[in-house]
Amino acid sequence: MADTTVTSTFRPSRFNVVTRTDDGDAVVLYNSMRGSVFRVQDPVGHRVHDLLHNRRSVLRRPDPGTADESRLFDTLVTKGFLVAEEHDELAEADALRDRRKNRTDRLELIIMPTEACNFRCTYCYEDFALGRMLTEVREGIKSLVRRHRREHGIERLTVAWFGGEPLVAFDVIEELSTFFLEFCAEEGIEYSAGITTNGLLLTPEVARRCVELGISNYQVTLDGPAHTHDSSRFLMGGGKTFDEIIANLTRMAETDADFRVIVRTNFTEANSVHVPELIEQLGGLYAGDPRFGVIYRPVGDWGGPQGEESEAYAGKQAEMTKLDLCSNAVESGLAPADDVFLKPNGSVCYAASPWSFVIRPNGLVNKCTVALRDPRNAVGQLGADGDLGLDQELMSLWVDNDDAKDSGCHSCFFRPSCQGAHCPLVRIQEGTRPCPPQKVWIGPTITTVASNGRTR
Amino acid sequence: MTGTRGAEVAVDDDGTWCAWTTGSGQVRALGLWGPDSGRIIDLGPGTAVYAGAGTGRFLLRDGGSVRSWSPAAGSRDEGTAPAGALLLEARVPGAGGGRVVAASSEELVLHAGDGTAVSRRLCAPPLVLAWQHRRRTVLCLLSDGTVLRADPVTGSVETSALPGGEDHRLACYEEVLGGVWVVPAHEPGTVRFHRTEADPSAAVYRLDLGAAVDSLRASHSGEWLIARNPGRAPTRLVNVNSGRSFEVPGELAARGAPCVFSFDNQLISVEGDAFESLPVPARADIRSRDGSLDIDTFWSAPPQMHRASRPQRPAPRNTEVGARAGTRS
Repeated sequence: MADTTVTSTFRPSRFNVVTRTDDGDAVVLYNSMRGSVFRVQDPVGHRVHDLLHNRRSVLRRPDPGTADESRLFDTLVTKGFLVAEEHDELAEADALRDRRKNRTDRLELIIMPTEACNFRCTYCYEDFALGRMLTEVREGIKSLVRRHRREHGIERLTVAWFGGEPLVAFDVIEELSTFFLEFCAEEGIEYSAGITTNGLLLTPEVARRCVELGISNYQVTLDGPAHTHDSSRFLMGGGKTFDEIIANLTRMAETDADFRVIVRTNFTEANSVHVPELIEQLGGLYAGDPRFGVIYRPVGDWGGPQGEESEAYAGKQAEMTKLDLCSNAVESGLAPADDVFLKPNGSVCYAASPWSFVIRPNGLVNKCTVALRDPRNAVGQLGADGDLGLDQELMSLWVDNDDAKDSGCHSCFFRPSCQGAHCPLVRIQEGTRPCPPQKVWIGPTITTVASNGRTR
Repeated sequence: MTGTRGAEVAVDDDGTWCAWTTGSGQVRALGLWGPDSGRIIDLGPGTAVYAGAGTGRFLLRDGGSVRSWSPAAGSRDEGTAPAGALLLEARVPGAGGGRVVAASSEELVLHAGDGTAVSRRLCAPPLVLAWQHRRRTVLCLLSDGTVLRADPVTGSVETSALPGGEDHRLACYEEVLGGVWVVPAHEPGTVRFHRTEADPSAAVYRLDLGAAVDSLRASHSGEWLIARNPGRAPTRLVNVNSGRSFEVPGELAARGAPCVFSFDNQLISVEGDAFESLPVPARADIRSRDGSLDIDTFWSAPPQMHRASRPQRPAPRNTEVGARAGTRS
């Protein structure tokens, strides 16, 4: 929203980032309270830089007689880059965080219908200890949703199917999705669902049924072209998987169904050179199809049994590689699906919100899908009556460990986006501030976003 | 997980109960989870036991008669089945549990949603009768490699065949990879995996078992096979991901007692009125493919991945290192 306060003095927003492009002929502007990125060509870029670069400057609206200056100034006010001098931006950020945390109209369930997986990815952190979701837990989830409607009046239910490989237990997905669709339709609750799947079992028949069941968002991972993907994401026992996954996605693309597929690529220092080969292949298949997007992630040290053998890739080089791959994808006609991380709330982890829960196949309630073995992550046990059995002290570790308690986060330019809650797990396990890479490397990030926006 | 021809031990739909036949022709059930964990129940006479459609639910055959049993509903007469037939209970929406399916050496019989019986003549003895949860179909594998898929709602049956046209001695269904492990008749010391969910079915793996086996089972996670040949060779645990096999741990299992895997990947061995339970990693990630990792290191090496994913259990009886055992009280 524009700052409509009747005022004559303004100052640059504390949530601004202004950086010059690599070629030096423009500036890129970002404001984390608005989540907007703009590229401004010189000479106007120079003028914008002059207006915004000093956060302590107090600026007056130019004389209406200078039309260009006035228009530029008003635009910067409208877009949130200039705010009224008396405007309390920290209070605005507090309010943004509190609205997220205190909402009771929403329930987000990350459901693991099984922890079994048909893949044995080299970097995977899961132990696959539990099989198909127990009958009593499935009934408990139905009770949980009814109970939240009755007691909290939820108006929106979001379900994310996760595993293991969730499609291994597709019958559980069918049973619960049928309930969610019927209950939400009866009660007027907005329902949406997505799935993180390796894609091998996403055959045309299963994909069609998933769409019927209201699953509209799909994240499927391809780690490069066939020869690199098949060496890191193989079937239990070593079998190849790439060709079948591509065939399944291509059959989905041939339908007119309404869905969104994000193809994720996990890259390491070693395999990143091969990713452009995948991008070219995907561009040939899905370029111009707005239902397909791509994201790139360096393989992280996600824990689990791999221990010291993990191929974790981090730091500036990893982030620069990620941004290069995004640009490469755009040039091939693919759409990066990363924009949300620059939006207000966009870099907040689901685990930091009190209305988000992971439900394991045995009814164990977690906050985080990564630290499955950390006892601090076992915040509750779902009962047959839908009671989550929450331990409020453990819950607080996840949902109250944010910018409210961290002076560094409190004054950070990126605060509206991550709210100090990008990764509560890092705060819990390491006691350090979990700055997201898009904040640490904000200059290259927004420059890439602006550049990709122009290309597209 | 599915039964083999022996039908001497079965695990329920959730993997939270198992049931087995004793040498004296009785059937016992054992709770593997929650408040029933460690509880052994006498289910009465029976010569074979099969998985039913529901928590703790089993089908028991005693001669020609079939009964169902569950901790919630107790025993119920389910009619008759040919002697030696494989049984299962198929889940049918609105059927109040399931419908009994029987595969004898002559025919496959299932009762459709409207109660009518549908039968299909079989040209070879059945090796596997399994419920494919995610397909909601019955899979029946015959010894000649014929695969039948039956829809219990419509009664329709589709037929295909494993590649190779071979005869098989043994088989078991494995849901995670979506196919069957088979022991070829002419190669009794090997096991092959055919992905029956692929179209057409494709042979994916071949593993050496070291010796002929007479019973084969898969774990819920798909990571393990239990290969038994009591009296002639030690029971082996075959790790599918690494292609390696190990002598089974535990006293009962080591002397050839039937074994199954529970929901949380406990290896349960049963014999008479006794049982033994051992934690087995659902994911072994055995990287030492040259076989240099010794068995003791394998069982005890960190990380103990299963630990945080299990809720509190009652204190086990007769606890050994990571193991528990019990008898009927």
